[in-house]
Amino acid sequence: MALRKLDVRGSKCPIPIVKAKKEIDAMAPGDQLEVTSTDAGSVPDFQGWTRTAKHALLKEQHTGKDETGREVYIHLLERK
Amino acid sequence: MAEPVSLRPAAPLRWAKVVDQTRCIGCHACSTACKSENQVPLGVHRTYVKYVDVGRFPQTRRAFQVTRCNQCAEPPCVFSCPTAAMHQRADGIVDFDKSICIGCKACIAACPYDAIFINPEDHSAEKCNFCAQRLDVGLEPACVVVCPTEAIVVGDLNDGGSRLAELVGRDVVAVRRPEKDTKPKLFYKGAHQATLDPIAARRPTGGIFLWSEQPAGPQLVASGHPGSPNNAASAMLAYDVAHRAPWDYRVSLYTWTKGIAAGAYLVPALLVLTGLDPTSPLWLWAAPVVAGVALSATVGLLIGDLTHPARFYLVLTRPQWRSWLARGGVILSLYGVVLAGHFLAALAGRPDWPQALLWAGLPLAVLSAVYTAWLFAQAKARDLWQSPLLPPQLLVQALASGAAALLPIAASSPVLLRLVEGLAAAATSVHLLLIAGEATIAHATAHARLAAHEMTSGRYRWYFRSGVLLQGAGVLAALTGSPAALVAVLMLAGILAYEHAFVQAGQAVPLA
Repeated sequence: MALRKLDVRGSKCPIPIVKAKKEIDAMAPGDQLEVTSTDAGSVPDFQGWTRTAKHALLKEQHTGKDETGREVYIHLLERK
Repeated sequence: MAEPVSLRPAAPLRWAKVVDQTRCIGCHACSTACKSENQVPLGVHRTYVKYVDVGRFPQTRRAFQVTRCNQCAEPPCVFSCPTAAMHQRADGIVDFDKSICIGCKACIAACPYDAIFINPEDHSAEKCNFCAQRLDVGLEPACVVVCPTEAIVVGDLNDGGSRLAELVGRDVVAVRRPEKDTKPKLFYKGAHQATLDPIAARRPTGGIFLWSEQPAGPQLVASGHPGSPNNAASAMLAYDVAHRAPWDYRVSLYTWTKGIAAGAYLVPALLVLTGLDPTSPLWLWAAPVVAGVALSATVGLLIGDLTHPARFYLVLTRPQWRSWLARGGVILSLYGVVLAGHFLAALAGRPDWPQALLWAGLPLAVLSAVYTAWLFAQAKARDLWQSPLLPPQLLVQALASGAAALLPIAASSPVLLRLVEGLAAAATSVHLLLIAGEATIAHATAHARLAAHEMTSGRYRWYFRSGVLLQGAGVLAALTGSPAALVAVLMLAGILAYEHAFVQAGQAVPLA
């Protein structure tokens, strides 16, 4: 089981989802993807998208600070 | 150790924007990203995309314009803000501080791009601020990161290596309303003149847009040219958002009560200077009482028009001195002090004091009457208000209003009545002459011509025409010896109706 990281800081809806989907599509089932975003709107976006997505499962969401002190939203996804 | 020597000193950061209209597909991603980033309520917009359909079938195209704050290097909103709530940062971004906004809407009246609005939730003025909160933490503005065609480019105008500097320096770019002298730092590449000029496109029949209807209402300004547009390329507006005129009937009414406040002191003061007995009740009592009541109404209307009325004192405690609203606030306050002093001296039985105060009262009354001309001229967006004849017109209007308001009181003495009535009739006649000039002389810009048209034969024609007729009837009534009260009512009603037409018509032309 591999863990990939995706940095979508700075971009807004729908780019975090679009980039996450491209990444997930190229992963093997069971692999995990950690998405780091600066967009507060990405929290409900990932919840909504994983509810209907074929291959993605939302494991966890939390907030934190990145190295520049910005508020970031971290989403942990799993390839189904 | 010696500092390394730079051949060229580093230029300060100067943020600017290019909107590439050759890439824009009018998708509104920027409009919605801005809404979510800045929590902009429904019905108001920091940015939106205007659509104009150009040409006739089969040779047609749809032209887009991403419409927002132009981040002017010479921002009229900043100059006109009485409390410096609108301000320019060192990096050139025009930003705002909601905690000190009093909601006077002077910035909205000043903006030639109609880019500022009052947030209906917090009642403060706001606009596109370049997503300063994102730039400050190293992120690009929300509209830039969502644009699917990368049509919005931001960067440092002073950095020769930036994509922005390359676009501005080497491409054919244009700015909106260059004649307004604001030096916008939002450049449009490949924009159509039919979108850049707000009256180049025709207003669609019935107010129906591509997918929405133009809202109609008392303070709403319908977009597009109502008659024959300022462009021969058959351009028609296909989508725009609602725009509103910032200053409503309260501002029209304020100019009227302020005219009475200034004139009711000026007229007896001039009479005293030319030989009226300084113990005459017209000077001693009527001047401070009538002017004082009218001045209180003026201040009440000014405060009542604020969206943050409780913050009105900020005009006096933290004035931004380039603003004529701040200067006017000081003028009116000082004038109020003189009127109060005059009244108290009369109460104390000292008629010599008001005479001494006259030398302060006279210039303050004149300033109170005319400063509004500079206040209106500071509203750079409104071409009709840029008339150099406005100061004399407001002075004559104040004399006419003051004399008319004093007529019922002067009626106690036939000699005085004849004097005041003569003055009222003369001032009103000159006022009518100045109005005739305003209405008939060709205006320098298409905007001013349309505004004058809205005043004399368009949306505000009934106010304008009844204003002129009532003033004319007032002069006739004065000359034929009609009752003083009738003359006063005709003149004052006429001046009010005309003033309402002038103030509202100035704001009736679409700006975006």
